[in-house]
Amino acid sequence: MVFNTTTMTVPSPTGDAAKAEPDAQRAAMQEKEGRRLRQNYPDIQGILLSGYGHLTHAAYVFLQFPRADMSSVRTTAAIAEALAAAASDLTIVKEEPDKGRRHPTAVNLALTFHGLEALGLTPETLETFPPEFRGGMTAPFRARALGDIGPADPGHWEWGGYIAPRTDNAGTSLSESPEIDTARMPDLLLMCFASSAAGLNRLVATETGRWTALGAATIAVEQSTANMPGEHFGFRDGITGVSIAGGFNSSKSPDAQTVIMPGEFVLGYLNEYDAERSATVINYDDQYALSPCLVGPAFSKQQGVSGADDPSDIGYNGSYLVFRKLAQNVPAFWDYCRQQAKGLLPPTPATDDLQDTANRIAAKMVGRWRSGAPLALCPFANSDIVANDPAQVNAFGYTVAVPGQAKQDPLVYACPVGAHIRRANPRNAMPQTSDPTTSLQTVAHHRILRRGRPYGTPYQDAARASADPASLPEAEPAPSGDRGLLFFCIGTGIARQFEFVQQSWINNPKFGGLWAEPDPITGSAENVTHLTDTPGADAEFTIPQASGRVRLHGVPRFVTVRAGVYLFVPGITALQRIAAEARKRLT
Amino acid sequence: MTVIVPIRDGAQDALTLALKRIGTDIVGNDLLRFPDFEQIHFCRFVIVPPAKGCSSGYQLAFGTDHDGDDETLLRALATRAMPGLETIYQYCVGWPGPDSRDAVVRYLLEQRIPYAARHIACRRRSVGDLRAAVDAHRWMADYANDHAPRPRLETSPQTAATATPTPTPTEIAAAARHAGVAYPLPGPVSDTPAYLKVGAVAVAGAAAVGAGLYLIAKRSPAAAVVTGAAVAVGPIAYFLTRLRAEEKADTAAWTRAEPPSLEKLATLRTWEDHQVQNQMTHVVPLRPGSFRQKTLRNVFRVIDFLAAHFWNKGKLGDIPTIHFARWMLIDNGTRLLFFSNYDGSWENYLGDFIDRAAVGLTGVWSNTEGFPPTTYLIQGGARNAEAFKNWTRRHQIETQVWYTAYPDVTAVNQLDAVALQVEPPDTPGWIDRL
Repeated sequence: MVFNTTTMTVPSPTGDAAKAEPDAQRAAMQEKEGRRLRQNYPDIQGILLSGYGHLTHAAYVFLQFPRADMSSVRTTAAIAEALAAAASDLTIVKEEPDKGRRHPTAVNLALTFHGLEALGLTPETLETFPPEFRGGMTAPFRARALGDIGPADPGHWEWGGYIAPRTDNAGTSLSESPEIDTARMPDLLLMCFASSAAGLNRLVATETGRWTALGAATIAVEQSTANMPGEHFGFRDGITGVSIAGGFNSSKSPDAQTVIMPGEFVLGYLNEYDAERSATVINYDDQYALSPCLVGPAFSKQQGVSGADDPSDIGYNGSYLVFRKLAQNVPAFWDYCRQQAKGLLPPTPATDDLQDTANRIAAKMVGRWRSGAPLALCPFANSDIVANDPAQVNAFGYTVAVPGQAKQDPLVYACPVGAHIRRANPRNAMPQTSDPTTSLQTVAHHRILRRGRPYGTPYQDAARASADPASLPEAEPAPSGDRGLLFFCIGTGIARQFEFVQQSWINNPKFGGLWAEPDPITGSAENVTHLTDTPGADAEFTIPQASGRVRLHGVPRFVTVRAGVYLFVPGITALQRIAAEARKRLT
Repeated sequence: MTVIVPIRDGAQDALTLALKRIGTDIVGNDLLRFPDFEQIHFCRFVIVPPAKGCSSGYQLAFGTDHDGDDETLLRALATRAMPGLETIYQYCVGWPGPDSRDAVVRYLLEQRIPYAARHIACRRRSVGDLRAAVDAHRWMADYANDHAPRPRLETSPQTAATATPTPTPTEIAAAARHAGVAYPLPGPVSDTPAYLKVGAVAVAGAAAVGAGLYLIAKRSPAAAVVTGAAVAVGPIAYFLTRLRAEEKADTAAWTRAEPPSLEKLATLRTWEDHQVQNQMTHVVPLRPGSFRQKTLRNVFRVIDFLAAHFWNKGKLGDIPTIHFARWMLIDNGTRLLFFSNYDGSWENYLGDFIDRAAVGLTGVWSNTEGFPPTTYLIQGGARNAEAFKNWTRRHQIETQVWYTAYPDVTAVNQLDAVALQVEPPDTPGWIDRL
């Protein structure tokens, strides 16, 4: 393929055929579901539709109910009481959060499966939650699937993991029945957001105080780093948003390719599969059946009733949240890029060339330049596209129409197939799918809403924050402490969304026809020896080029999970129902 | 090859233990040294539990995907792995004992069952072919990497003149030949073009019908018109009416497909994701009545035909991740058994089913119990994604012994490696397969 200009103009990612009006039925369904979602804003916790970007300070407080006392009627009643009270104080979705007077703080709440168990919900009720939420992130087979092995093994986690590791440092399995560290397993998460450090401290003290006064223990307080320009490796982050029907798409540059049905992110609405089914001749009554519900003599599921009108429905207007604390090894990342740069240059390269090549390698691994400009649009040099044309920065795909040919040409020479952003969202170029429209439809089944924020002291001090990280002296000691991303994402199907993306795209060494390449940024290098049994196999990264591809070897692990948990974010009414049910169980 | 034998009453637990001893050390165990049998691509031993409410007992299914004929493989097993066979089959009805190889081979041959439809990604490629092609691929990839000039990263758009890869595809292929790693694979045996076959069948059918009508028309033209219409439309109308009636009854009886229990899920998933490839064994009763049985047999005829003649380039439908898969009817055609050897995660595999092959799979499994409601055989069904996944997990069974000859390599990898050997290096896209 020949590129004529440094910045390419890529034709419509979906191709002209797919640009035709989406089928009217789907548009009508999106309109209807979107309207219903908007009507229900007061029942939905704000975090589901907004990252509270205007609130620069955030802390995530993980609490454990007083376990030993939960058999005590009084304690449980008090906790249920507190949940009901909290429900009325939680920040709900506001119309147009970026306009008008903004509230200086926000609080949202989520429960783990252990938390729901501790509240005394019946086993029949608990069974209506999906298996991955019940089994948890640390079920041994799930930890293996997620790549939480070797240094990322839950046995090494700060909280939420095992007493002892399940795998050794090479990722080889030691045990299939690790013991859960119950003393550091959270029940409740309080998400606190404020516009100032002092405000956040006050908010955390007040909100946490409500629960510790009842005997709850603080498992962890994960505080974000305020006002960082990007993530710790030095890349601009949070560029791609998801357009939700009925959401307000506050992201500056929403992924304009597809508007996603609200049921992908909020329970009780049509999801992408439901939308397809509804378009067929069959009329199902079970479309909202995935919502967890209270089960018992008092509740008999009425035919045709769902959501707000159904007193047993506790999923309505709620969702699931995946939290993972991801430590980033910044010096290792840039050291690796520099080392590889030396190998790709003639002997004794000039410093400028070395820096330039290291930066190019890093950009190829991410799929964007540090500015956020996507390689798919500007493959050979960084550009100001993010600053100058924010709407354009997400309007790209990885295949282009070839004039006179039916088949689309994959842009493998612009953005490597194995690049991080291409794996996390393959857009119109799903591996082994030649048709961009089908690709976009399939990808829509696996979108997640990212709500991550960085934590820890930046590797570069403020004075040099804008400096090129590739220029850092190699021997420079890192500022002490851990740094990384408080990753968290939202979706109504953890298995089909987060777990799928993590296992089948990010960590899959065979993604897109590759041979031994987990994600070069966030992948588990041990996955190569663990998933491909070849002795001595290492993690690779391939940069395709017209003049012959470059294959890097020995890509180490740069990102290590430190803690994680699956949570349920109930709607306001649902939380009141859960609290009422917990109270009722006592009498 | 699939061999199904009944397990002696009450012996299933002891057999499970014996199988798991092999299954948990698949390449290292002394009883069945699978890597010694170089014709085996995939192999499994599965204990198939009886259908609910059925008087027949547990059965042992032994499935292989192998090169060469069945008897040669069985004779090799009887010669070199008799203790292993004895360990397993001592629990089975009719086992002739380890003393006579001939009797053992006959015993297994006689209890083979046919497949109803199957898929093979790399048709007509032996285990040895595939291994050699993959090794050659790695060698050429390394060669290209090591012999490229510095600096390597492009910093500006390449002109057509400089865009030629260095080393060139021809140089890479020549170096591989010189080093003796190139593996001259024979090209695939060319199929009779499928449209010719379809055409031949259609022409023959039309000729037969035409001849019949001509004979009738010689006596009475009106009768010919009526008969012609009835021959053409009657069976189809009958089939659709009958089908729709059954579907309506099935839909009315359907409630919702509950997810599998956590225990069931853990049992299945404990065996998954240890390597690139995974497997699935799935068994489900057909819906009652001969209508569904006949329908299913015809669906299989269509699918097997398509798999052999249209989907023979590595993809089943549009799914590129399945090495070998097959359906079999067991228990006098009352249950459907499915074996699959696929790449990547279960979630991805099922997602592919739903997104890329829902019509075909729904056409098959809509004839079985508990499948999500369908309309006209192929609509709905697997499109009800969560219900389809839950239904699949609930009918999936534990595979106690599973062997793959090439756990590290995907079907896509193999197809790329084979293409590098079969296609001339100047074929467009050749070098991108490295």
